[in-house]
Amino acid sequence: MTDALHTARLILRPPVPGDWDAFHDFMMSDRSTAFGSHKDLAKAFRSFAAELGHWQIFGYGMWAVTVRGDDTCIGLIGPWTPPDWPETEIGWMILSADIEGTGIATEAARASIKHAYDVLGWQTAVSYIAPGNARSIRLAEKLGAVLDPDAPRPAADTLVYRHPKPKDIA
Amino acid sequence: MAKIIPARLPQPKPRPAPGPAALKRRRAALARRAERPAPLIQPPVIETAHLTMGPCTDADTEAFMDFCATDRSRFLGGPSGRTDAWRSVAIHVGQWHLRGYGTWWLTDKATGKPAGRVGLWHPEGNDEPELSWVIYAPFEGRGYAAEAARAARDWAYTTLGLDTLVSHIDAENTRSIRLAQHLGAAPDGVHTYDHGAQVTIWRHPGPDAL
Repeated sequence: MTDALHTARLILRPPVPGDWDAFHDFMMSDRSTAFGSHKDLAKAFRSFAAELGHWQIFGYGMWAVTVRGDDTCIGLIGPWTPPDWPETEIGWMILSADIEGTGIATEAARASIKHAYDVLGWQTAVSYIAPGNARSIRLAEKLGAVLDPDAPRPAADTLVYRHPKPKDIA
Repeated sequence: MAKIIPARLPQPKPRPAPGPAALKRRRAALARRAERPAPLIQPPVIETAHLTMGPCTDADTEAFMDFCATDRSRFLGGPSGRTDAWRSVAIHVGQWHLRGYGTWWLTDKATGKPAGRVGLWHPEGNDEPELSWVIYAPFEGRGYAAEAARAARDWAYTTLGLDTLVSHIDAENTRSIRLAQHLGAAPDGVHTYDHGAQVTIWRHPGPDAL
């Protein structure tokens, strides 16, 4: 298991129980309408527990994104691969509104995709995005991902964005 | 919540692309890290007469997904597909980290096969931890649920120091109701879930009564 990923501004580390507060505040806010746990405490608890469980079961999962020098979790970005999931997914939840426009989500997503290709050995990566989640679509496009209308998807109305393949990113 | 982002974020420094030797060193470092075990909160292993109660293994995950595909999972919201069933496994695994307690995965000592999931379930939205039990079909009728539930209840009372426990049971789940009675529990009101469903609260005898 990789302990952490370091980028110019960020440290991506496995999520810990203490990240619950940040996750909870996001899910109870108006910024999380695209998520099933939006303003639902019982569902939010399950979602966060599943993030920790994913790490323990597979030895990897969505990274807690932190700015160097501050261990606060500002987002969860990275691999999400339950059994029977159509393909290997890079998911993201941008918990903190403060990082919008800073390029931090892009920086973190790039690092997590690179790790998935280089260390986890993925051959492809997709992101499943709720239609109408404009912020998320912008991030996918910024990462060079393109809409794949023919790809299998977990729910009929989900958008599938396919990231550039390992050979296409330097 | 406190503001968490510094007003001026450090700007990325341009870095030269790593050469082949640097890449090799980096890969070797990543491989070394991969060998290091992660610090995890795992359930303690408990041995009962017929069962080993312990952390979740791949075999437990597979067996639970098989269970969730059957009608036996109807009182847990099933039947459900593998992705949803796996999610329940991940939630229960993650709950140990969040609560410091949770459910155990049962292995039948005689055959080495997964036999069920029993222990404490305490999601946000529930006022108190619940003693819950699932036994897979091949091991039904052997008293395994009672054996594991007693062990989990004893652990909760002695190790956690709890002085009471409840079980939430659907009025139509006659097998579970019989087990609750067998364990000395008695009806103590109704719990209404957020989605509107209602279950009977069965309250177990406290440590002093056992």
